[in-house]
Amino acid sequence: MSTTTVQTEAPRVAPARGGFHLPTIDTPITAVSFSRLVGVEARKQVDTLAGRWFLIFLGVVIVIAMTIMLFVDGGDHNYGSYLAAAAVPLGIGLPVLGILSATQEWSQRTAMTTFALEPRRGRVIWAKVVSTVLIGLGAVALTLVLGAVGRLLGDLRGAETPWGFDGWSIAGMTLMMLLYVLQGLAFGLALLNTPAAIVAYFALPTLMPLMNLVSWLRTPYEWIDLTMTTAPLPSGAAMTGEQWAQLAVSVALWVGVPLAIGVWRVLRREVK
Amino acid sequence: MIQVQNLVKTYGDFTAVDDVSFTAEAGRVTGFLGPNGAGKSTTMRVMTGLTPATSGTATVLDTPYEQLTNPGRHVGVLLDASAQHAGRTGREVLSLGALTLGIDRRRVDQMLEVVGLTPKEAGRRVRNYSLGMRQRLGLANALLGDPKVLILDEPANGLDPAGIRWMRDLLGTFAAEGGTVLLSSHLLHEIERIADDIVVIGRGRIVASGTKEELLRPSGCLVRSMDDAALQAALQEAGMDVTVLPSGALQVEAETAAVGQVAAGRGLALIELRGADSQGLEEMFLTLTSDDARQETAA
Repeated sequence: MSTTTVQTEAPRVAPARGGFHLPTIDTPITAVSFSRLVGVEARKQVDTLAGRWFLIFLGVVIVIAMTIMLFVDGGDHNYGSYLAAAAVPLGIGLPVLGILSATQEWSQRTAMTTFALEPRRGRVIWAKVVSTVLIGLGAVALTLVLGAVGRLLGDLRGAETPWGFDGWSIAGMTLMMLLYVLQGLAFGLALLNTPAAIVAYFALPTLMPLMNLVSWLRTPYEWIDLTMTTAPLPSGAAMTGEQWAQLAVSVALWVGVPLAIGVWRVLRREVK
Repeated sequence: MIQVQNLVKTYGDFTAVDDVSFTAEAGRVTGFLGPNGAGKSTTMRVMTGLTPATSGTATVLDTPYEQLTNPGRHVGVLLDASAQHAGRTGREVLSLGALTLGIDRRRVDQMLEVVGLTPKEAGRRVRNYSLGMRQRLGLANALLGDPKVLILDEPANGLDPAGIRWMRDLLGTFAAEGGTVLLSSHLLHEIERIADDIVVIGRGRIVASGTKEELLRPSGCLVRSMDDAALQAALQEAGMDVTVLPSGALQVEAETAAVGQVAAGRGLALIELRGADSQGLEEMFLTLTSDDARQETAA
């Protein structure tokens, strides 16, 4: 036992005795490009143990949802229904990755390294926004594939309903997914605390409908509940001017305002 | 080179860093010492742009840190080895660094080898690392961009004896090749062995700075005689500062020649007369910072 210890320690001491030589880098120093920052931020969202298990968990939930779809009515649904089966768990789960992207820098204190390598914090924040959008788009692409796989399996089981491929519905679903992941990131940036941001993110859509209990809050409710205002998006039906206005107001309130607060806080906060 | 000029950082009423100025020269290891809460870490965070200064400036390589192009290629920073995501592997931490810096991924393996982390250890998650392994990983991260300046806060903390020796050699080589090293440590013995220059900070203020030789130069002399009481009286009459040491000898703040003259004048037989021992860094540190401790109780 003691012999092995000596052997493993030996290489650590040896270079010290022989005089150290530090390998150098020959390539010239280039500025930290924005695309590199985006790549790093995207990677950071999926390279942790928590991030990886979270994605695996989401995958399992989607597989279960698909399986259920295949057994309900013999799997005889249109493509849009299969899409929804994949999109709902992703829409609920993915914003958590956005939240963690913002909060883990502070809870795990990696902000110290992140901002030492890129002191212009604004660039890091925008890199997080872009990487979150890219991950949202990736999730949409995955949803389209998973939905198609589900529907193809449905075809094998003899589904008779037409596929009913609807471009507007997919565009609406994409927009909704992006708004949700950005809302997650914005909540994370504004609160900079993982449990608080997750609780706030999930409590909000649950608590908002309570406004309906008060008669004079019903009209404002229609303008500020993001769940309500985004609901028409995946249907593919043309939205009215008022619906768009309601969407814009609720997005400004639940994505724009927290994002602004978050940017302000991160730019000013002391990194310890 | 690192230059700090008239740096002040206040938190409300509390002044964490109070008009601090010093320079860490290229080619030298500068030890940054001070008791807990003296303002070391705050000063280092200001240098690296993580904490805004209330007033004053800090420059690295004659440039404010935030204005360096790709700062990781110029300055290696390790302020807290524990500030890493527990769920990432050591290799992943370095890979993210290499990706940000825009350098070859082979550099990751090189640095793992330099700091002595095996591929197996590099594949483990940081949560399973000992403090010593985290320090090695942090040093690998700091060295990743082939920097000219190293800013290290307590890097020897948690390292085993072999690791401490290894770090001493590493920093020595780094400085010998023209690099600037600023490191803080509580391991005074280590600083004494490794540092060329020393800056001591207490309660936010610089209390001493200079080369190690200057700061540790002994002062006064040590004398023993057949009749110490008489000698003490004689020396004090001559206006010298005399302290009776627990061992029985007298410590005198004067040159040996002057002390011998006084003894000869009184006809006192000396047993021993020599220059005082070089005071160790610990002695100096405690003397310098005990003033702060007294102020603390007085306030």
